Parts: sequence; C-alpha cells; structure tokens
Amino acid sequence: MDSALTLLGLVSLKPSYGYDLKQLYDRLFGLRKPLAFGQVYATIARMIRDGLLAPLGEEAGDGPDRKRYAVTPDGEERLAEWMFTPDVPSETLQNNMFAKTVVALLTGRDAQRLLDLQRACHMEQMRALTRQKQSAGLMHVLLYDHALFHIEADLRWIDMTAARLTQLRAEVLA
Amino acid sequence: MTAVLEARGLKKSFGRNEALRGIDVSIRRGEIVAIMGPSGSGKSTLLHCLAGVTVPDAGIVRFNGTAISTLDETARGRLRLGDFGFVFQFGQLLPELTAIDNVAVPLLLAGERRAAASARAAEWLVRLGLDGKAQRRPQELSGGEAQRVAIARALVTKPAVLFADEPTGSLDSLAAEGVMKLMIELVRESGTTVVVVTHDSRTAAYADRDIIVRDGRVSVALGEAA
Amino acid sequence: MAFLVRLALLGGRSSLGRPLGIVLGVALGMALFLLMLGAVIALDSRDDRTAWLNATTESSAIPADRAAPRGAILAARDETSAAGEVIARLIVAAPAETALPIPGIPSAPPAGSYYASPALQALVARLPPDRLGNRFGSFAGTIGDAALSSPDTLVAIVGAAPDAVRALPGAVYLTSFAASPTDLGAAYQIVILIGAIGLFFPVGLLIMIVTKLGAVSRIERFATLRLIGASPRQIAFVVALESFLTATVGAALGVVLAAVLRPLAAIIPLNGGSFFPQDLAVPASWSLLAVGAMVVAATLASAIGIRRAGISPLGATRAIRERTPRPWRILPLLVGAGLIGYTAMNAGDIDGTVMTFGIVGGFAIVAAGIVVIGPWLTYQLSGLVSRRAGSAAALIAGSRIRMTPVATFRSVSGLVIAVFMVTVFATAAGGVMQSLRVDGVDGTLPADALLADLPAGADADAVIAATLAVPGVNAVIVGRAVDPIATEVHPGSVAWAAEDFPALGFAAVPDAPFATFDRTSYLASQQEGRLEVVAVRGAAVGVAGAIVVRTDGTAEAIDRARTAIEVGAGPAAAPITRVEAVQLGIQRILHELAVVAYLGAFVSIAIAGCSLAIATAAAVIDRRRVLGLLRLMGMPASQLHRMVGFEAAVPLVGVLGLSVAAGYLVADVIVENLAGGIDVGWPEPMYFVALALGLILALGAVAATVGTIRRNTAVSATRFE
Repeated sequence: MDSALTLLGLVSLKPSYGYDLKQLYDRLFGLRKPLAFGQVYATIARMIRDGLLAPLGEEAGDGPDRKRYAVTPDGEERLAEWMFTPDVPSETLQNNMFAKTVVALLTGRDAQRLLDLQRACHMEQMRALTRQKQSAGLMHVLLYDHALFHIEADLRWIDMTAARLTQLRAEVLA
Repeated sequence: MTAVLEARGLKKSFGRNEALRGIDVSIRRGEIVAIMGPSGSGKSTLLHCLAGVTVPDAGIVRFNGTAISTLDETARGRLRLGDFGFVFQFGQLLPELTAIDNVAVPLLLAGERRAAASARAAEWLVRLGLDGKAQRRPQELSGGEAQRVAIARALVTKPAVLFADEPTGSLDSLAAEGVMKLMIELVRESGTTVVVVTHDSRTAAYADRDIIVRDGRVSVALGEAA
Repeated sequence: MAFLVRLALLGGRSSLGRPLGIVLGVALGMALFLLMLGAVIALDSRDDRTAWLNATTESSAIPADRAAPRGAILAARDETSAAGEVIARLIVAAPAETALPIPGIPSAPPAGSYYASPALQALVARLPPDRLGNRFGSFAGTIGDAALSSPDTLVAIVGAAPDAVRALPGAVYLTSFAASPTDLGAAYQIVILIGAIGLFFPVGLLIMIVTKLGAVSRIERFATLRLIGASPRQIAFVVALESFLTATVGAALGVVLAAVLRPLAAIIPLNGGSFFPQDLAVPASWSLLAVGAMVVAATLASAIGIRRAGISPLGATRAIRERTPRPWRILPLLVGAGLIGYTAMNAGDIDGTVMTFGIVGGFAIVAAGIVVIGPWLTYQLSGLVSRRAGSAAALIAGSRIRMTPVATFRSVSGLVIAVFMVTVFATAAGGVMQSLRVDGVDGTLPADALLADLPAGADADAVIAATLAVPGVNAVIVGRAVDPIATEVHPGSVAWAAEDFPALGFAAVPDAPFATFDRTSYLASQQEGRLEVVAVRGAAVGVAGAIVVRTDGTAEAIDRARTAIEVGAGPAAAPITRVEAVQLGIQRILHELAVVAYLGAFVSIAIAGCSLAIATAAAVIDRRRVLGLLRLMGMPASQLHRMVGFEAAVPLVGVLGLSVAAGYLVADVIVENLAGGIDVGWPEPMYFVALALGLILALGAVAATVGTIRRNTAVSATRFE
C-alpha cells in the first residue's frame, strides 16, 4: 500500500491540516501501524516538492502544523492514474514454501510434515484473524477478509500439494 | 475439562472401501472442532459415527462417558433427538412447513405442546435474525436464511453437541460468513459443543482447532493433543 | 435416437418394474372395460331371447273365447313362486297338428307334463315335491339356453288340457311366439348408466395414474437427456414410444384377461339374473377398436403430459404448490341437492320422465359436486389439522396436504364417490324395504297367509281338505261368492263370515253376519285408515269362492299350501301372499341396484386403494431425502408412519363423512317424497360390510407403503452432506 498516494487521496477530499490528515489516516488504515507525525510531514514535504500538493494561503512561518494543504492539478492527475491502474498480481511463483517442499523431496526429508506444519501455522493465523474479525467494524472486516483470503489461497496450495506429493516426488527425482 | 465425545479405534468399511481405519478423537465440552480433509477422506463417516448415525465396525464412541456405538437404533434415535443437533449442507427443511413450523418439529417430536413449541421456535428465529420470515416456506427463503432456520432447528432443543456437515457448502462467501458468525455466537453463549465437517478453511477458522482426516486416519503432524 | 430410446427404456434400476406396472394397470383397466362393455351389450340383447314369454300379451294373440285358428297353440301365462323365488309359467295346450314350434323345446308338452329351465330344475330338485314339483306334473325335458336370458331364469312350460287352459285368466291362441322384450324402463336404464359411469371413472383414474407414474418417476432421467442435448421433441417421442409399447402389450393382455375373467364376471346378476359367459363376449371388431383407442389415448396422453411437465435440462419446472381451492367449489353440490330436492318435493306435479331426469341428473350432479368440493374441504381440513397439530406427524401431514389439496384428494376421490353411491342405494333400498313391511297392519292379509280363488268347477271341499292336511297350515277360512244381483257389491266379490274377521287380519268384527272388502287394498302394503267393510245379507251368499289359508309363516308351509291349492284347483286359483303382491318385481330391482352399487363400490374401492397406495408411496419418495434427514435427527419411524397415515386419513375422513351424509340425505329426500312419507331407517347390513371393506382396503394400501417408507428413509439410504 502506497501511503503517500493514500494521503494524497485523503487531501483530495478537502484541503486539510497535517494533524487532521494523520487522524483520518489512522482511523481508516492505521489498524496495526499508525503513521508517525514525522512521516506525515516528510511525505507532505516530498509531495510539495514534486508539485502534487501545495500549501494554502500565506500563513508561512506559523509552523507546519498550522498549514493547510490542497491537491494541485498535477496531483489530481497523479491520483487518477494511481486509482485506475490495476495492481499487477504479485509474482510469487518462486516462493519459499515451494522451494522448501522441492528441497525436502530432493533430499529425502519429510515433505508431508513440512506441509502439515505450514498448514497448522496458517490455520492458527486464520483462527486468530477470524476471532479479531468477529468484533470488528465493517471497514476492518474487509481488511481481515483480504488477509484471510490470501491465507486461504496458501492453504489451498498446501492441500493440493499434499495430495500430489507422490507424483511430485517422482517428477523431482526423475 | 472432561471429554464430552470420545472415540477410540474407530473402523468402518463400506464394501471394499475402508472409510475409517482406526481413528482416535477426543472432544472437550464447549469446544468447537472442525474436521477437515480431502473428499473421500472419511470425514463425513467420522461425523456419522460420532453422532450415533452410523455404527462403526470396530472401536467405541462415548458420549459423556456412555458408549453409544453399542446402543440400538431406537435408543440412538432418542439420543440424537434429545442431545444432538444437526445442520446439513442443504435441503434439510421440510418444503411444506413454514420456517417456524420447521423449527418447532424437534420440540414436537420431543413431546412438547404446540403452543410452547411455536413460542420457542419464534424466539430462536429472532435470535437468528429471521424475525418477519416465520411464515415463509423454505422455497421462499434465500440459501443463507434457510441455513439459519436449520441452525435454529438444531439448537432449539438445547443440544449438548451440534453436528454440522458442510453447513456453508452451498452458500456464497458472504452468506457463509453470516451463517457461521451467528452459529458461533449462539453456541459460545450456550456452551454447546460443535463438530463441524468442512473442506472450507475459512469456515474451519471459526473453530477452536481442526482435525485433519486423511485416508481414514487422523493426520498427526502436530504435537497438539488429539 | 436409438441410443436415446435404449437409455430411456432400459437404463436405470427401477426400469423394469415401472413398465410392468403400467402394463398390468392398463391390462386390468382394459379387461374391466371390456367386461362392462360386454355387459351393456348383453343387457340389451339377451332379453330378446325370453321375449317369447310375452307372446300372450301381443296384439297378434287371439282371445281364447274366439274361434281357434288352425294350428294355433292355446296358452296362458302366469307366475307362481316357491322359496321366495318367482317362476314364470306358460301353460299350453297344443293341437297335435300344430306346426308352431315353442322356443327352447323340441315339442309341446303333453297335458300333465312340463319343460323347465335348468335353474328351475335345480330348484325343483332342491325342494320336496309337495313344495314345488307337484304343481307342474311330470318332467318332460329341459328348455334350451337359446330361449333363456340368463342361467338363473326360472321358467316352466306346462302342458294342460285345452279346457283347463281356456279357463285361465288371459288365455289366448298363439300363432307366433314373436314378441317384443320386456321394457326395462327408463329409470332403470339410467341408473344402470350411472352405475356404468361410476365404474368407468375409477378405471380411467387407474389408467391415468399408472401412465402418470411412468412419466413423473423419470423426470430426472429426462432432464439428464435434455442436458446432454436431446430436444423436447425427442423426449416426447421417447415417452410416446414407451407408452405405445406398454399400452399395446397391456391392452392385448387386457383382452385375454377379459376372456379369462368372463365366467367369473358372468356370475354377477344384473337385471334379472347372471349372464351366460358368452353373452359377455365383445365382438372382435369392438375389442380391436377398444385396444386401438386405448393405445392412441395412452400414447398421446403421455406425450402431451411430458411436454406439459416442462422438463428443462435442470429438471422439472412444475410448481410444487397448487392453487388454493376457492369456496365456489360448494356450488355444484348445492345445485345438485337443490335439483333433487325440488324434483322430489314437486313429485306430484311433474311429468314422470322429467322427474326421472331430475332425480338421476341431480344424483349425478351431487356426485360430481362431491368430487369438486373435495379439494376445498381437504384444504380447509388440512388447515385445521396443521394449525391444531400437537404432534410433528400431524403438523407435517397437514401442511403437506395444504400445499397439494387437489392431488391429495384425487387419490381418494374414487373411494369417496363409491361410498356416496353405496350410501344412496343402501339407504334408499333400506327405506323402500321398510315400506314393504307386511306385518301387523289392520285390515290386510296376515303375513303368514295365502289368498286363493276357487274357480268354478273346482272341488272346493276337496281343495280345502287337502290344504288343511298340509303340515304347517293352521286354518282355512272360506269366503263365499256373492250374488251380484241381490247385493250392491262389485261382481266377483267374496263375502266372509263376521266371526272369521279377526283371523282374516281385522281388528274389528262387522255387525252383519257377512261382509266384503276390496281385494286390492286387502293385499296392499300399508293401509291409510281402516279398510272399508261392506255388510252383505246372508241370503245373498252362495258357494265357496275363495279361501284364506293361515300357516305357521314358514316358507315350507306356504309353498306346500300353494302346491295343494294349485294341484286341487288348478293354476287359475292363483294363490298369493301379501309379500308377493307387494314386492313382486320391486324387491328384485332393488336387490339388483344394490348389487350394481356394491359391485361398483368394490371396484372403485379396490382401485382407489391402489391409487391411494401409489400416491402415498410417491409422496414419501418425493421427500425421501428430507424425511431421511429427519430420521437421522432422531425422528422415530413410528412418527413417520403416523405422518403417512394422517396424509391418507385427512382427505378420507373429511370427505367420506360428507359422502355418507350427502348419500343419506339424497336417499332420504328421494324415498320420503317419492314413496310417500316413509322415513329411511338404517341401511342394509351389506352397506356396512362395503364401508368396512373400503376402509380396510384403504388402510391396507397405506400400510403396504410402510416398507417403501422404511427403505427410502433408512439412515443408510440417505445421502446427507
């Protein structure tokens, strides 16, 4: 998640003070990792430099927290580009679990045990997320769902791999 | 914590197909356990043995310390009616009955009077967010609503154990989530033990732990006590 | 296409049982239809064979007091009775030179001998000669079947001297035996027609149910065929082909079955007797036509039915829930009842034919009205049951019926109609029988007595002595001929001594030494007020003209007394009891109508039982998954059985009550208004036998489905996931 562009999007709602921006960001996205003030102001400064944001009015010298910022036309353009460019699914073909399984099969280690342990770990994570999700508001439910679906995808991969271990071993050792 | 359900050395074959090849399971009171595994792994057979639906070829099933695998069909039927509740994947509601009547059926079977049964059924429908749907028939309900009626029917007798076989199997993710969330809330509240068979890990994630059945055996990769 | 046909006909587990069921159902229906058709044709034709018995009343007959035409046979026709049976008797005196053959016999019987039908021979053989045989003389031979309408026909052709025949009432010279058969009477024919319709209805229902059973049970398979690309036309073709094959085999089997069952069906008496088996044979061309019609109808019906079922690739698209029956369904019943009530109450002012149609038509409309109101009543009752149900079985059954009242009622409609018909006949018959009671009415011939004339020329003293000698005869009371010139009574009147009046059946004794009374009223069933007794002066009384014979009331004594009188005084004495005078004919017709009704009821009940069983089993199979799950949840099998019982009992009990009530009321209205102020009492015992039989059959049918229920809902048979 690109926190700079997310902040830009929040400013596009209405010209805002840095403090308000942080509060809004934390409420929506800061569930596990709130933004530090320093990070907010550093990001704002960088976007002013790049011409995406501009301070409003002539209140210079009052300190950064007394300034309001607004999105420039360049900023609007950048925001639209971000919004409507689809994210490329992450390239995880060479992920760690796959590597460990293949190596285990090659070296005659217990690949089934590896997968079972991984599975148990994933399930534990899912249960924890499900518990948290049950008392969460809708905003955060969506966030948890996103995580759950990803873990579920891994679990499916684990189950499929476990079901095909015999075949896989034959192919790896060939 | 004592085991409410316990199985030792369960074996069950259907013709040449060995569905269970020696299974040990122990489920504590109030625990929510998911039974997972690939298709044909024997997980449904395990559920049926635990619930006293199927008699195992070998091994023993104890409910509250009493062996139920040796009871006759009538006694097991009485046990299932009084102490167990069931939720299935689909099509378990009587199409000719309204939602409230469907929920009242187990109470009537248990000998309760009609008025009292209807009142309790209505209560449970409200708990499951089905107020206003009491007079609908199953075909006038959505899949999720029908499953919630089924849950109400399963819980209305205050069973000690709720058996659920793929309760979300015919629902989309959103409906499945609604059904599971309500079911878990209600069983946590009443301390009901739940055994849920599912191949859906997100449904299983509502449980306290999962038992993996593979080729008729419990997979024992974990150090956790089975 | 060939592949499709093979798949549709041969595939599947139950594929052999189903066509077999259809073949048997069609065969049974066809056989019943052919037998009924045969009976209808035979009823019309067989009476022609006994028409010769009516020759004496034809206009071609020449009164015996005219000059005898050459070769004419002198004949008189009367009836005698024994053991409660009425025997037709033709008394003949044929000149030696006559060329006129008498039907059924090789030559005219000489005086003092007789020919008898086989049934009469059996009766003569069964009874002692002094009860029956002595009345006819010596046995000369058997009347051939060609001259008899039925194996049960009781006919005697008795030879007598010409003078004796001439002395009989209604004696004529016959130059031909050609005559028209006895008219059945429009009412009788219409009632037979209603009975036939009542029989056709369940047969049609049976055929409909078996063919429907065929299509519905395969909807899933046809859906699969559709899914893999068969067009609706191809499906319809496959279904039609199957129906064609099963209907052809079934109908052909039905023709054979009808031939096999013919002797059995011939036993059933209809309009005066059972049938000769060959009478029930239907001409080959008719059979062929019936087979063809059946095959075409079954083929078309199933093809249309399957298209209407709307099989999509995803299964049948029929709505499970039927339309709710509306209260207008009460109307036909009210119209029918109104028609009967109006006709019966205005019986006096309406033309006879109109009245017949009013009663019979009203009867038919009430019957139809019961069928129409049935679903509505079932619906109302099921609502009550499901609202009030205290058990799961009643709740499920009530709710199920509430969703499908028409289909549920259909399965018991045959039974309901049968019960209605039987109730009407049994109650009406019971009422009429009651009106024919002959005991204890002041001023009528006592039930144990015979009244006989003593014709001129008979040796009165000898007859009286012989009669008195008969065991069981208690008294012979002699009436004397009255001189019509000396009195003001009708010519031919008989006067009785005052002191004999109590023995004659009168409560009061007239003050004159002799008195006379009207013979017809004396023999009537009921007396309104007291019979008018006319005093006669002793001077006007002459020789013995009639006798009243008091017996111990047994059939033996009455038969023996009659034999003694007929032997001594000749057939012209015409001894008669009041029972015979009153019931001649009526009892027979009533009995036969009751037989038709009970037979119709039995066939309807049997078939209704079958359809009830099929419908019950189908209802269970439809829901086997959910019922299996209920058993899994711990519902005891006994509750399931109770549920099935409720599903059959609710429509049965509800509408059966209506049937009985409607039948009783209809019969009451008819009898009370037509037969004049008679209250109908209890129906005959046979009625309760028929009712009990119906209920046992229905219960048995439902009980027979218990096995199906067990198999289909066994925990091991259910796929639960």
